[in-house]
Amino acid sequence: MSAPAIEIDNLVVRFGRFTAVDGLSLTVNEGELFGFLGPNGAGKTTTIKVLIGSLRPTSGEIRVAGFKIPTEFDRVKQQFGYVPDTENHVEEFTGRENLELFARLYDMPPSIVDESLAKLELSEAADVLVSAYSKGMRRKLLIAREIMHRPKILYFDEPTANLDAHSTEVVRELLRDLASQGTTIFLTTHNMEEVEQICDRVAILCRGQLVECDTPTNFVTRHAVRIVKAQFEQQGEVVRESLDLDLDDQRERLAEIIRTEKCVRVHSQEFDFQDVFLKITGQAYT
Amino acid sequence: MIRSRMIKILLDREFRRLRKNPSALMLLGLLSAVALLMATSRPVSNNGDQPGANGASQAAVDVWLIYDQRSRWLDHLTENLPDTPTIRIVHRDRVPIENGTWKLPSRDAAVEIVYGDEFETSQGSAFGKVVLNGRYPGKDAKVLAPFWNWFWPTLTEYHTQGLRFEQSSEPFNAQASDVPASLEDTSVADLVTNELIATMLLLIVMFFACCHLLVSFTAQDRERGTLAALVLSPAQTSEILLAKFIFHLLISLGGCVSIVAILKPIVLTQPVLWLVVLLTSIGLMCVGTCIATLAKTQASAALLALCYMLGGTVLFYLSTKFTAFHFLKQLAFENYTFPILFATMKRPVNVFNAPGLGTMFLLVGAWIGIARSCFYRYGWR
Repeated sequence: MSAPAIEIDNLVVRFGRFTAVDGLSLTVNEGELFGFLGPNGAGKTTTIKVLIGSLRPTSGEIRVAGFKIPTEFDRVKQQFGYVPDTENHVEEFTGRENLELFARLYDMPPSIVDESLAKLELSEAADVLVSAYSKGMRRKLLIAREIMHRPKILYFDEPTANLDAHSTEVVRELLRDLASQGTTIFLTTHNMEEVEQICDRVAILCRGQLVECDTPTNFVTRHAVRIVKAQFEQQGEVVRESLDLDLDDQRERLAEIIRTEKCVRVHSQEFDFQDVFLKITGQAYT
Repeated sequence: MIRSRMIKILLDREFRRLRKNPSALMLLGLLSAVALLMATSRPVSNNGDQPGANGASQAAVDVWLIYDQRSRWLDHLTENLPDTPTIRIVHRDRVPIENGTWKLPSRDAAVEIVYGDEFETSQGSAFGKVVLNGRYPGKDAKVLAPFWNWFWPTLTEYHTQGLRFEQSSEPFNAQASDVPASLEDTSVADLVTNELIATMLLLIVMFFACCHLLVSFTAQDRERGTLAALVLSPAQTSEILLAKFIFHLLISLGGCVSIVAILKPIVLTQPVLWLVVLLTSIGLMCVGTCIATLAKTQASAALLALCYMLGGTVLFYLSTKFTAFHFLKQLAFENYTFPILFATMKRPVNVFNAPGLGTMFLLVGAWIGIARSCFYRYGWR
């Protein structure tokens, strides 16, 4: 088994009386594509802020690439990249100038700039001022900047926000490539389809506490509910019913509907990762 | 450990940002243009207003009332200045001097206040004897008459309290005066341009480059998140802060050198002048860093910088009126900047004799500590 890239042990973050993160413990392995999910206000961004050293935890121990955070922050910061949910470019610079600045800071060869721009399909807009970029282009430039120095760990906050369908695919493919090359990717997103497609493992956080941590397939298998939706005529009116096939009385009810009523439509409901997420976080439709 | 490679990269970033920020460059250019205009403007001519036999033209002679220390009666005079003649109540240190003699406009007269021995009044209060040494242009002593006509009645209240004034033995004879003065053909416009305006422009340049521009750039960096991006890069927080300081200090020094070179090139070699410029610039950068890191947005940071400047002005004004504020004034490093800069503009000042330079060192040192702590704690978070 590969060594852990991120180790969080009993992390607590409080803002006055409000507890944003409450006893979070988890381990992310090297080269893993790890999804960190939760509803709004669950404590995801707070956790990432602690991991990148921007916020001091109230208690708990964090190790990133073997270094303690925040005490060894200066030693670990070269090992990771951070793509925040808001773009932070120098607006007066062109895309190329922005990347050149960071290439120099990371002591990378100048050729890396063109490589990174090409990876994110930004070569044509390289010499345009960032202030003239669209939101999607800014996002891609940010990703290009953060992968340029080939970090061991990449924190992503909403990696494909504001991207069109094609760019979304480009970024997802890039993430898979990076993970296959050994980069650990820790991402937060609200796009459950993305989680199901690319994440190796997922942790779901709710009200600052870790609810579950597993692979997306295991989540769906464990939490899937076999629901059948029946639509039938009863005394001249169309009636709809959702029936859980795991419950005896509801199975019998379905049999009765089929036997006695005039069925208009009967179909099974797909249960995907989004349903699992909503069920776990207590936000499922009733 | 500070790495020069990082400083160079970060400095390059700041200069490129400045180059793409035309408004900042425009303001620096305008300040230099003001200095150039003041330097090339012609002195005000006195030729058309010669004193005649009648009192009206005599009243046009300006009088410099020169003192060593402030007193209540001097404050009283300040508050009751007449429309004519024009009277300037100035500290001895602020009188332009050249080759050991006062350099006043050719048609101005001067009255120097010299404090004599203390004596006891009938009420037991201690008062000093005040000697008034007058001097005037030409040979007609009456040119000072309008001044005395205002001076004595205005001080009636102080006469009754026992304050004793004495005019010097030959107060109206310039040759017999104790005051080592020479009357030269120098206009007031010249004096103001070369010394006072130069000092004021230096202060404006330093405030603009080290406080306003730093606040604006740093708060913008924080608001956009670019500062966080830099801190997460291999550049250390201390390197980022140092690069910012060097950048703004270079702008400040560049501006100050141009202004001094245009207005008063003779003082370019004065070490005290540059020491004070350096200390004030560093102090203002520290204040600017604190403002930029504590403000939530760039707009609020810019307003806070303005409040700092205006608040300082109010404090300085209040300190002249109420003794309670005097102590607060002593805690501001800017309090020592103006007098030293102005003094260096007039004559060479020894580093060891510059008043308040040591205190300034201490105050700026304290500000460095505060700014560093602010930037480390809140700078990018």
